[in-house]
Amino acid sequence: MLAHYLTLDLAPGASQAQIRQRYLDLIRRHPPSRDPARFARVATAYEALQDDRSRVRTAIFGIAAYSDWELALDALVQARTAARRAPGLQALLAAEGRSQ
Amino acid sequence: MRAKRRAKHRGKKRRPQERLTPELLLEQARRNLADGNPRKALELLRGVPDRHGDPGEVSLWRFCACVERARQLTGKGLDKEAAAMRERAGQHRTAVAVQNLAESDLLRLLRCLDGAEAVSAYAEYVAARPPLAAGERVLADRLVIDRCWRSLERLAPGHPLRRDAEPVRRSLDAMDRGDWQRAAGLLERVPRRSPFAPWRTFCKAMTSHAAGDGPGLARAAALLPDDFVLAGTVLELRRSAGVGERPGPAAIRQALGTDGALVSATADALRQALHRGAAHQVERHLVSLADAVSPDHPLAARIDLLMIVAWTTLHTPMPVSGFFSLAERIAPEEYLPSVAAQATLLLQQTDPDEMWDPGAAVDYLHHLALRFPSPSDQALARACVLESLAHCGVAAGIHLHGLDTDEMQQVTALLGSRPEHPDLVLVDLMKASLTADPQSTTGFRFLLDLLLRHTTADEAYVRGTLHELAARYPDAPEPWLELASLDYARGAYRRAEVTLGEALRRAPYDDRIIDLRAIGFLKSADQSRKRGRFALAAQDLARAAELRRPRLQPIVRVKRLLLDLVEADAGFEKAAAASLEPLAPAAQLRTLTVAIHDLDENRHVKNVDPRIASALRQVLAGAAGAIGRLDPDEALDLVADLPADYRILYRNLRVAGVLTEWWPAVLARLDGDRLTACFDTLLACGGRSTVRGELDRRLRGVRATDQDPVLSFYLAVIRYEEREDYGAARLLDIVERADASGRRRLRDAAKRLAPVVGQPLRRALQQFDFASLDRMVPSFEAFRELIYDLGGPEVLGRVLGQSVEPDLADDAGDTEPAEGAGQAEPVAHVGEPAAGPSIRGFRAALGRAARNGRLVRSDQGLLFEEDETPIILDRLDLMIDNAGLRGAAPEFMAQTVRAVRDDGEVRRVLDALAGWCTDNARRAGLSQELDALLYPSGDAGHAGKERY
Repeated sequence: MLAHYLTLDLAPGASQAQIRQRYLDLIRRHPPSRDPARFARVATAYEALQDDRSRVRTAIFGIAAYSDWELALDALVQARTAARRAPGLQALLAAEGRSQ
Repeated sequence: MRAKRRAKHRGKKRRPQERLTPELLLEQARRNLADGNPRKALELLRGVPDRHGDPGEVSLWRFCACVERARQLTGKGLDKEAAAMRERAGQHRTAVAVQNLAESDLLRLLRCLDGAEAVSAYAEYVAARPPLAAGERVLADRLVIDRCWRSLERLAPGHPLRRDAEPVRRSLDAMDRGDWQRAAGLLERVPRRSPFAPWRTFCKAMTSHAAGDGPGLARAAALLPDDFVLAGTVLELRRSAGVGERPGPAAIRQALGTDGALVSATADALRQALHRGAAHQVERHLVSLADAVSPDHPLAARIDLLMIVAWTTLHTPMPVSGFFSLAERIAPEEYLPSVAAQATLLLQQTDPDEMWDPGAAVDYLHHLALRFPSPSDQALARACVLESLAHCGVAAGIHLHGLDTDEMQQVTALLGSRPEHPDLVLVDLMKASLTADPQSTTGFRFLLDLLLRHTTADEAYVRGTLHELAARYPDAPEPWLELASLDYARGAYRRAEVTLGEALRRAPYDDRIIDLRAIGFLKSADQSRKRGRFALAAQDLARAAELRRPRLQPIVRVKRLLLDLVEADAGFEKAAAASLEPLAPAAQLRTLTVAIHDLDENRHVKNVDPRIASALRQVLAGAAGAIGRLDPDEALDLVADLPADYRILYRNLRVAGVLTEWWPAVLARLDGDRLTACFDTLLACGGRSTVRGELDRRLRGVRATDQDPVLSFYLAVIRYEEREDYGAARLLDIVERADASGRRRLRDAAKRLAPVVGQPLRRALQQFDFASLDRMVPSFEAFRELIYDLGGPEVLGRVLGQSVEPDLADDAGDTEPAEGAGQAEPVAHVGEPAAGPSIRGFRAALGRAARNGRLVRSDQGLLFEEDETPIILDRLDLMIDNAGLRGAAPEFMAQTVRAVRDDGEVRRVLDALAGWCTDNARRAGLSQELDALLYPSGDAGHAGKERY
């Protein structure tokens, strides 16, 4: 399910090592004492993707983890709106219309 | 005349610039260039004399306009024209005297030149003029963008641009990767007054942005100069930090992920379209949302959103056919079967009562490589799907009811061979799952659990499987534990001891194993007592007691009491009282309750004296007065079920039935969660009327707003079950009134209540969707049938093009779904008997008949090939016979017709057949029942037939 990858700000094909590294980065940046809601979202996302088995299960049945469809939609939107991206310089220049 | 006309003509053709002064032309050209219109600027500059104003001024503007125009042409892919324009720019450049330029003109020139030329021009400028800080900042931007570091050699060695270039060069790789934190670290050495300082600040701003550090971002964004080369990004960063109002361009917002408001608004629009069942709008908003949510991976977003739409077909007017049409249009063709199968698998998960469908698993696994390219992921996915199917099978009671022919074929396809034991097919599925993913602990435990459920089915097979598991997982004690349980249950105590020894060897301090050993002794004592070998029974009881299992003390006490009573042979009441005397009142009551339950379970055993049970009941009646003095925990424990591992000792673990006449007294001691827990126990024991009475007593006279929502909810559910309050209004009202925590409690209560109520309330409770009680929801059955009526998911892409899309045929479907669309399973109404399984069978058979006929598209909708239609009509008649509808009472037939035609898909098939019969004058030859089915309104043309 894409929402978990968005929460961790990763592409859907991210490796287990990347998932773990990003999780550690994010919980360091958003400790539960400072941002409990964000921490909970990150922890949930990592739990869903933490190993190959969970990742595959989430890909097939991830949506069913929510108790109704509106919550599933909310989760996707929330993950997206919470995902602040850090695009590279070239991507920014392209978006500005100033490619190298 | 002719000369006059020529002069007039010339006057008309004169361009505006020919009528303006050079000053005005130059001014307008500047304005146009600033507005991003270099073409117009060039046209205006053509009218300005070369020697107008300061030397080189006109050339500078012409040069700038040519450069901008060349950039525009390059952006349009007109490379030849762009090259020509650059050549023209070069000609104008030579006429520009850099040293004479005003500061603002120099900045303009530097922005137009490429990096290396800009550095050269600036070097030429500073040779005669003082350095210009703003110009050096522009050069720093050009250097970072164009990366022409060698050109810096044209500047003096100590020049700030040369001095600070090295850390910037080294940080570029991190900037390109988006690792702004590292880039900021590398730029720490760049001084605050350096021309590169804005880049250091920008890296800090991007780091704060990525980390969600609002104050840090606000500080950094405020320090960035307005003329920074990434001006749009700076605007958006300032806006998102709350230090600016103007947003950056849309492309920047999307790149930075700050377009959240847009995403939320699109999601809300999609939500509303789904609630209305507006298929066209759903498609539009879904595509927009997918692109907004994940511009880099829109397909992943689309598939997730399609799964959500599939889910909504159970809860909203969104038609099932609309989902398939949507999938066909927005998912790549090769993904369609996989998406359809995944949607079905997902609905199995969300609708736990209607979910057994091995066909969907077959389809999904068939297309696995598309979704999971790696073989290891494919194996995990296979294991996951099979395990999920086995879970669904348990919920659907497959281990109790077995499979039909179609399901058996599908399971055979899943397993690769026909199951040897049809009643153990779930075990086979789990074994296949574990073969695909041997390390799955959840799969391992679930297989053990399944084996426990099947202990009476084929013990040899179960034992074989447990031995296989023991060999595959040599360190796991569980298979040995379960084997020992089987041995104890069979009364093979010696073998059980040996097997348990194997389990103990692997986990010497495992409480489960020690508990099982104690329970084994109790079972052995039971057997000895029933056979009259009291000494042996006493010996086993002593062994059980020696193991000192605190959890098992109450049951040891029960067995001890029963042995004492059997040995007493008479005076049971006295003996029981003596045995119970040392115990506290709560323990006395529980011991008596379990002992009576024990005797009830074994009343068929020859050596169990019925007088003992009578005596114990009398003792219980005497002691029951203490119930009113129990504390709440003791009262709840009194009616609690026996632990699951006592199944070796008892078939039925519910003991509350022994205390039926004291239930009100127990309930009176309870409140809050304990009360609802007791309600759950009593409802599972058939104590609905007692629970209803208690709820009425507690809620009578209390205003609706002051009532505990959970108690009101229990009462509403019971009233619905008792047909006293048939409708969703009361349940919806309770949910509506509850706050967030109240709703969480209601959700939990709904899950607990679902198993003890009938349909359709059960499904509504499972899904916590009570509005569905008042509308005809498309059921999973209809969903599945539709897929297969259309030829199965594997040919969905081909068949969908031929399917009828009543909801998408015109825009009316956007605001008001077509009548009957998405309606399927008949829901019983007040006063009507439930449709019953015969109707379901009838509908399923109709679906199969439709599958056997070839479907073609016609103006009327779905039709069979003309030459097959009489065969289909014969099949329908045969189905009427098989469903027991031939000669049915008119009232029942009318209800049946209504129920069958409630399903929109079925109704369209029947109407198409009726149309064919009318057109071909076949109606007179139809049986009375088939006529009623095809022509429910019963109009003219049926003389002599009694209408239903």
